[in-house]
Amino acid sequence: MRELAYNQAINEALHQAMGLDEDVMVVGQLVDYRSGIFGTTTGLLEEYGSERVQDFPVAESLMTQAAIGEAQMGMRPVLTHQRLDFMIYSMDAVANWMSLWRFKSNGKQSLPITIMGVVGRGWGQGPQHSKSFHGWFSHLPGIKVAMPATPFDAKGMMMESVFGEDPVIFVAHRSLFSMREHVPEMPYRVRFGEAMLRRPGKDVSIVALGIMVPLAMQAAELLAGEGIEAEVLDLRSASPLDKEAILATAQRTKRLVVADPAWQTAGVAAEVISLVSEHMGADLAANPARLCLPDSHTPMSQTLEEQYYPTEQDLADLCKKML
Amino acid sequence: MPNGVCTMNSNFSQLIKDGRYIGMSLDGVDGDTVWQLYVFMQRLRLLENAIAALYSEQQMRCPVHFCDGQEAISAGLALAIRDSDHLFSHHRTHGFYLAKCREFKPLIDEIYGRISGASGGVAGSQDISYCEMNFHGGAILAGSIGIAAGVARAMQIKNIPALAFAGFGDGAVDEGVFWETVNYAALQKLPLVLVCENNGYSAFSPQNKRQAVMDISAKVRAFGMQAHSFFGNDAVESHRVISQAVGAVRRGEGPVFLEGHTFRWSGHVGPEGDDQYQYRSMQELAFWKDNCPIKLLEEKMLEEGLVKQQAIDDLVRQIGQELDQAFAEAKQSPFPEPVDWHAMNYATQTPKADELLAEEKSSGFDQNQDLAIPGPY
Ligand SMILES: Cc1ncc(C[n+]2csc(CCOP(=O)(O)OP(=O)(O)O)c2C)c(N)n1
Ligand SMILES: [Mg+2]
Repeated sequence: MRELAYNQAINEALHQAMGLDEDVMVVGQLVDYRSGIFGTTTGLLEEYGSERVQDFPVAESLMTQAAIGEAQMGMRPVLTHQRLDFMIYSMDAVANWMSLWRFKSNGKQSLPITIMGVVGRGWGQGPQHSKSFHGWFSHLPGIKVAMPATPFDAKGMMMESVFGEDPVIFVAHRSLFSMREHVPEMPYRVRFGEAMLRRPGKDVSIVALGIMVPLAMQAAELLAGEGIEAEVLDLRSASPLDKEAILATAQRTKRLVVADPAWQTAGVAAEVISLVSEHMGADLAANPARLCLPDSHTPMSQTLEEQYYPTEQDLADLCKKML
Repeated sequence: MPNGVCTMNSNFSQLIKDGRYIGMSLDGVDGDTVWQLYVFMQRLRLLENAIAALYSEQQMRCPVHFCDGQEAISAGLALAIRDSDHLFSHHRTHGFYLAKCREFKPLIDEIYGRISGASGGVAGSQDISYCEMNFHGGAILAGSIGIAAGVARAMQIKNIPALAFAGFGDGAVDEGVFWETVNYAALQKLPLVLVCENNGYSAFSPQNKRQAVMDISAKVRAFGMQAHSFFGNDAVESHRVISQAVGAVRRGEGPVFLEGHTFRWSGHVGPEGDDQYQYRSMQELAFWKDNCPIKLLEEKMLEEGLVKQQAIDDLVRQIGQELDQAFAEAKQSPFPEPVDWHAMNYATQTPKADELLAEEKSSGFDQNQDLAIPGPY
C-alpha cells in the first residue's frame, strides 16, 4: 500500500484540488519555490502557473482580506503561513470579516477559504515560532478549525476544507510532517466534527488533538503494558467538536483526560471537559484532567523545551492517577 | 479663510475667494449629467434629513453616520459605477450605498431592522450589505479596502470586465492594511478604484494630529499608484475626476486613488451633534456650510439657465413623497423571525465536496515514528 508523509499528503491534496477546479488558488510567502512550505506546495507553480500559485508580499493582513474578496468572486483560495504566529497579522480579516461574512450577508454568501498555519515545536523555535492558536479560532463562530494528526487526515481534511463552503483554519504541526501512513490516491474527504476512535479501551478515555494524538497512542501503549486499557479519541477538528463521540467515550470509560497541544487556560480541553461535565458529570468515576502546555510562552533552550513539552509518560501518569 | 481649511486644503486655496469656492465650471459636461448629479445629492440629503428627524422615535435602533455636506463625492461615483462593479463602503454608508444601489427602501428597511432590509435586518446602517447589488458595508475601518483588492484580483484572474471600488475616509488611511493594499494593487495593476472622502477628521481627531504628511494622494503616488485629489464639494469636478479615472482603470491602466476634500456637518455619529466637545472650529464648519455641495451646484445651474427654480421645487417635493412612503412602509414591514444560529453562521450544504470527493476509511496509523525536527525554517 502506498505511503505518504504528512507534508506529501497535503501536497497531493493541493495538486488534486487545483486539478479538479480551476477556482482553487494557493497564496502565501514562498509558495512558488521548490522548497514549497516544507514540501506542501512544491510543484504547484510548474503545473498551475503564477496566477493561481502566488507568492505574496509580507502583508498577511492584506493577504487574508484579499482572499475574502477572491472567495466572494467564486474562487477557493488556500493561504499558507510558514508559522501560524505570522498569521496573527490577519486577525482583523479573520475575526471581523471572514468569520462573520455569512452571518452579515444574512446567510447569502459563504467564503470557502482555507488558511494553513504551521506550528513549530522544538529545536529552539522559541516564543514566536511555536504558538498554536486553535483555541482562539475555535471560539469564533463561522469558521472551522482542522487539526489533522496523520497523513490520511491531512489529505482528507485539506480536500474537505478546499471544497467545503466555510472558512477553515488548518493547523498543521511541523513535527508531524515526517509521519508516514497509507494515503489513498483518489481525492477523498474527511469531514469536520467527526472524531476518530484510534484505540478502543475500557479503563480511561484520552481525548486528543493534533500532535497530542501520537503521544496519546504511545501513552496508551505504555498503559497497556501495565494492564490498563486506555481509549484514544482523535478529535480531528477543534471546531466543530464531535460532541457525540466525546460523550460516548466518556460514557464508556467514566474517566476523561484531554490532551491539547496549547496553553491550558480557556482552551479546547476546558471546552471538552465542560461538555462532559454538563452531560454526565455525576457519572464520572474520577475528576477529569487536562494535559496541556504550561500557561507560559515557549522557551528556546533545549533543557527548558524538555520541561515545557509534556511526554507520553506524563500522559500515562495522569491517566494512572485516575484509576 | 479659517485656519483648519487652509491646512487641510492648501491645494485648493487659489479656488477659494472670500470664503467661497469659485472653481466650478460646467465645461464639457452636458445638462442632463449635471441634473443627475443634483438629483443624487438631493436624494441623499433629504434621506438623511428624514432619518435625523425620525431618529428620536427610537425605531431606528442602530448607529447611524451621516454624510451631510459630503454628497458631491458619492454623486460623482454614482455616475461612474456600474451594476457589475463591486463597492465596499466604510461605516458612513449612505452615500456609497445610494451610489451603488440607488433605491431607498432596502436601506431604510435595514435601518429599521426589518426582514425586508438589504441584509435582512442583521446589519443596520453601518454594516449594511446588499449582495445582489454587489454592495458591502462594514464598520471596521480599512479591512474592506483589502477585500476590494481581492475582488479586483479575482476579476483580473477570471477576466471579468468589471471593477472593484472601496469607499472610505482619511481615518482608514492611518491603517496598515490600507498601505498594504496600495502597494499590492500597484504591483499587480489591479482593476481597483479607491475613493477617499477626506473630511479632515477621524471622529474628533484631525488629520494633522495623526499624519505627518497631509497630502495623502502624494503618499499614494510614492507607492506607484495613480492618485488625483479634488475639491470634494464640487459635484461637477467630482464627476469629471472620477469618471475619467474610472475610465482609465476600465481600459486596464491599473488602479487609482481618488481623494475628495470635504467636510461633515453632523456629528461623527448620530443626529445629535458633537460640537460641544470643541474638536473643530465653528469657523471651519461655517466655511463648509457656505460651500454646501448642493447649493454650489444649484446656484451654478440657475446662473447658467440649466434649470428653473420650479423644477428644483418639484424635485424636492417628489423626493419628499417617495421618502414619506418608504418610511411608512418600513415601519409596517415585519421584523425577522427567530433564526437558526448555526445556519446563519455555517453553510448547511457542501455541494462541491459532495460532487468531487470520495468517502474513504483510514487503514490505521503507526504512532511509533520519529517526529520531524524543524531546523531553522
Ligand atoms: C479598526 C477600527 N478602529 C477604530 C474604529 C472606530 N471608528 C469608527 S469611525 C472612526 C473615524 C473614521 O474616520 P474616517 O475614516 O476619516 O471616516 P469618517 O468617519 O470621517 O467618514 C473611528 C476611528 C473602527 N470603526 N474601526
Ligand atoms: Mg474622516
